[in-house]
Amino acid sequence: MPERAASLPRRPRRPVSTGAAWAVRIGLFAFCAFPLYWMLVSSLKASHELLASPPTFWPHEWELRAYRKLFYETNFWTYMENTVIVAVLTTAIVITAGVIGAYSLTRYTFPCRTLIARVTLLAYMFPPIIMLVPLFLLAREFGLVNSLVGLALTYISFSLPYALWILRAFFQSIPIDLEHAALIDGANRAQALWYVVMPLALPGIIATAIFTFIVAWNDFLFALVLIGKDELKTIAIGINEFFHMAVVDWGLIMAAGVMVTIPALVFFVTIQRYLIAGWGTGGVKG
Amino acid sequence: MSVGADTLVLVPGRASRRRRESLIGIGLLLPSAALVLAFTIFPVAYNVWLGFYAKHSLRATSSWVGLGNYSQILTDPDFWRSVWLATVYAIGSTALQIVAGVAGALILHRRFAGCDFLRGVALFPYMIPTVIAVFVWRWLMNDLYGVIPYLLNMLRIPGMPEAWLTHTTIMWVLIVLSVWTFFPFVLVNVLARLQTIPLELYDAARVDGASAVRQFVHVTLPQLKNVLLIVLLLRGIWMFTKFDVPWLLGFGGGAGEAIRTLPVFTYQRSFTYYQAGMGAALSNVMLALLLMAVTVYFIAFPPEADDNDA
Amino acid sequence: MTRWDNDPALRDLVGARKEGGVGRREFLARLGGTVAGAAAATVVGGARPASAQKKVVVTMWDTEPNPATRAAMKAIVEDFQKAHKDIEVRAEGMGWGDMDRKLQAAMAAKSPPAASHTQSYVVTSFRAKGLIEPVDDVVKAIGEDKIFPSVLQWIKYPDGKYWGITHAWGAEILGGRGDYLRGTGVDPRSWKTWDDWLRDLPKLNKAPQHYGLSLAGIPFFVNEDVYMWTGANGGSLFDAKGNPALESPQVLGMLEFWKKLKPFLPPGWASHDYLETLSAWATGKTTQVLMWGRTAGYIDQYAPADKRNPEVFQVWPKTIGPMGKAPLTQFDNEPWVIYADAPADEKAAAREFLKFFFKPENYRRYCDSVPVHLNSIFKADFQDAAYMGHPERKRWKPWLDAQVKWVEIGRAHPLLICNPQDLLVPWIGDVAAAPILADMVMSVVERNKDPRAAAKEASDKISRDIIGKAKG
Repeated sequence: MPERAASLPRRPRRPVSTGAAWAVRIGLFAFCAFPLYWMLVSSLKASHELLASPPTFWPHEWELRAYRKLFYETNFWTYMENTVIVAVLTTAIVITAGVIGAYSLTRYTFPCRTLIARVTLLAYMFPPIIMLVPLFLLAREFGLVNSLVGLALTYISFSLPYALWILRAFFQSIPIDLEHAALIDGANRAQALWYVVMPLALPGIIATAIFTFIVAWNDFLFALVLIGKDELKTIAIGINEFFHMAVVDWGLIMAAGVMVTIPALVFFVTIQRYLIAGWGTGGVKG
Repeated sequence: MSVGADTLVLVPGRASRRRRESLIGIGLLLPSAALVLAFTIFPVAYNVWLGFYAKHSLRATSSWVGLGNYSQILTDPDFWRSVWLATVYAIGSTALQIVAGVAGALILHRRFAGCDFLRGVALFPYMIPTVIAVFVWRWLMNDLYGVIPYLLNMLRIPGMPEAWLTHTTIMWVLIVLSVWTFFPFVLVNVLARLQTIPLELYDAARVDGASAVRQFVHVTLPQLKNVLLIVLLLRGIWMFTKFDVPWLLGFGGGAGEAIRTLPVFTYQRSFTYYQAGMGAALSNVMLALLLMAVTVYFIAFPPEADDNDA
Repeated sequence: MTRWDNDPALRDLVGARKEGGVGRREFLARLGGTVAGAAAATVVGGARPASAQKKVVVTMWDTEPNPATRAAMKAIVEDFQKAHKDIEVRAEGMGWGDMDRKLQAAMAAKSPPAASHTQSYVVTSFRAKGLIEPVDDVVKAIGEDKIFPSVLQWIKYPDGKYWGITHAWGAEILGGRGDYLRGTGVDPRSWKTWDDWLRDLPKLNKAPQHYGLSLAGIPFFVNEDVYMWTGANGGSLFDAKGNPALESPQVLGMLEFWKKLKPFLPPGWASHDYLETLSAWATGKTTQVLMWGRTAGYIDQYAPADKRNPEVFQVWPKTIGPMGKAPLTQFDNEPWVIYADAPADEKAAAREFLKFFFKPENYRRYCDSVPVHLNSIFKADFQDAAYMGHPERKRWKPWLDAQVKWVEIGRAHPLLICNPQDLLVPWIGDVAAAPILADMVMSVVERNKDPRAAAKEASDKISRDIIGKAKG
């Protein structure tokens, strides 16, 4: 069990503060989870109850109609597969390039180091919607249209700057002494990075991975313009189309929302324990 | 508190090694930088170029207007209103996201029964596709079917509006919805950083007799500073340029006229008025405004690495 | 997994990466190479880099993404491809906003689809810019005299040519809940003028259980009601030269009328989407709504089972303003257009497909996919027992009759066209897409601005921002 910062050390607690602490925790839970609850419950209601007034908090009739429609009458699974492929590819490349790039930005000196870092921020100062047409032209030039690789490349180029910035902040906070010690012991730079720096920066790496994944998972605009073939569409596009049906089925949309988030939620609940630092390999003593 | 990166380079000491290290440094960064610049330089250059033309979005030809687009923009009261709305939205939602994110991270920093589950749930708002998030909130706040107005009515809170999605209150809804959607970004990054703060610092502070609040101010906050400043910068930029949330909530008109922020205004000029040249000019103005803000930011908060630049 | 088949180079590359035989930089370099290779193949081989067939691939975009219509299109495409082995048709369905964005991106790259759906006013605009081609051959092939004159009226231009061919039509009707009439003594059939309607609205309004009328507040749909009521008040939004005529008494009268409607609208109407108004009507939160045939689907989805019929969901008459002579309704007659910048062989293929599409056995499948909403352009179908015998058409017959009546009296006009000559206003599409008219209405109705001032401001904006830029 890692010694470091897994929790603040125990202090004797007065009952009031424990009650207050729990009230705050429940408040946070309610704030985040209430719309999820609403989505879940709405996906299981009968259509005419969806728009009941006054609204019902618990369905009078339970139905799996929306899920059946989602799985059997739409291309949902295909869209899900495509999105997973693109998101995983994007995240893997961004983390690799980001870690190495951030390491370079903080551990090496070279001319214009800070300038290069700041220039990468430029990409964020336009709303993505405006980048739409030039990006489409660029993508056409390189044959990236209607290709999951092309889509991943646009997400990678969007996520890399912020990955570099966040990881740079984490790497900056890791003292040089540790790598210094490792290098003196005969390790090369790559080993110093892998065995010393990365474990300590793991929470930051995981945080970056989570957010890169979500960017690729949720993006709508670029997928809309770059993907035309139905079998390559991503979830965001698929769900958007549910809003354009002849009759908009709110239950279906809620079911899709649930299916998109519940698995990711389970995954993140499992992975979040790695936000906790340390493989037990070392605190900073002295 | 960290020792500067230069120290590492100076320890081995020889000039040729320093040069080699510096080349390696550039080399490691090059692929990332190249990819980002390729996907950045071209669109930026395209937009700068297009801003000098009047171009109908559906025609291949364009005509030179020089600074004509810009002079029209800067004298248009609707443009200035959209800048104001974008600023209100960016500052309001970013500030609240930071507060909510830090508060959430502090709550989740301890271990308690169900903390793993709550950490996952706290990420949930960021995870769902924006289009669903906004529609769920529109539904929750709807005047005919909305659960939240219904609950507020039941609680008999005075002064509640009849409908939330009208021009007087829709900006509030937009801000709350945006905080809900994006605060997990702050929370997770701050939580990750909290987990790497060495315990010894707190031990030392407690030995000196510091209370919980003082520990927070004198130990936690300084350690969070780097990450918090980055998060502030990124979220500020992203909220200012955010298009899809105000668009999906307000559709650029009706009650949504009150949330016609600069990105929405730009989109309308480009895609609904079909004036691509004007849209490009507007986004160049947005770029200029953000560059000014970011410059001020870097003057106010120089990143630590600057102290060690060769 | 078909995605990997589309990118064989990717499959190999990722496999090598996973096995560790390829370092990061090499991976990225080869990724670039793969991409460049695909690009080269695209340049050399046309639309499909992976195969070397001689087929003409024609892309056609339509705005009916719902599954039933997609299935019908798929069947029609398959039959067409059996008869024309050298053509491959890609028929993609998408929502309006999405098509607009994709079209703009495609036009910027000078690679539009061969054909797509569009609106009447867009046809005017595209025609003026040389972006589309006439479709006289298609119209003649399917039988000019078989089509409703009201449909042909809006696709034929002063040069005598047809610049688009309507895929299906609909006319907007005023829907009202028959069950909410009970006990009120209101007889909608007696309504002739706005005053009649305003007199009876309070009796139909029992807030907050149900409101008298539900309107959509977002810009595009506000525009629909603006021109419809202006036309019903005897006016037009444009003068003979196409300049905005918003300060005319007819338009100002329309704004005053809208203010009087506000007490009977839901308080959040300014944020309501059109589809929300339909579900509001289906669930009984509103007595009346301006609707189209597709509302039948909403009733089936959201209304209680015992109410899903036209006795409950009735058609009530539209009324005229004090300065008007005949009511006006919106005509939805989206035409197929052929884009001039598409390759010649694709355009020819698109024309062949359209001729095939409108053949009775194919077209019937299409119209049957959304029976009460996609109305046939052929007059004879409405006398045809097979067509009218469709269960949905039988069920909602009063709705169909009402729509056909509008078309027969010729008072169903496409969006923003109050007088027939408005069709030729070159910037009518730009005005329809812009939020200027909607802003005008909102400032008057929601923020109590003086109508004359609001109209003047809107006129100035149209002149400066739209007409002024039209030269560009």
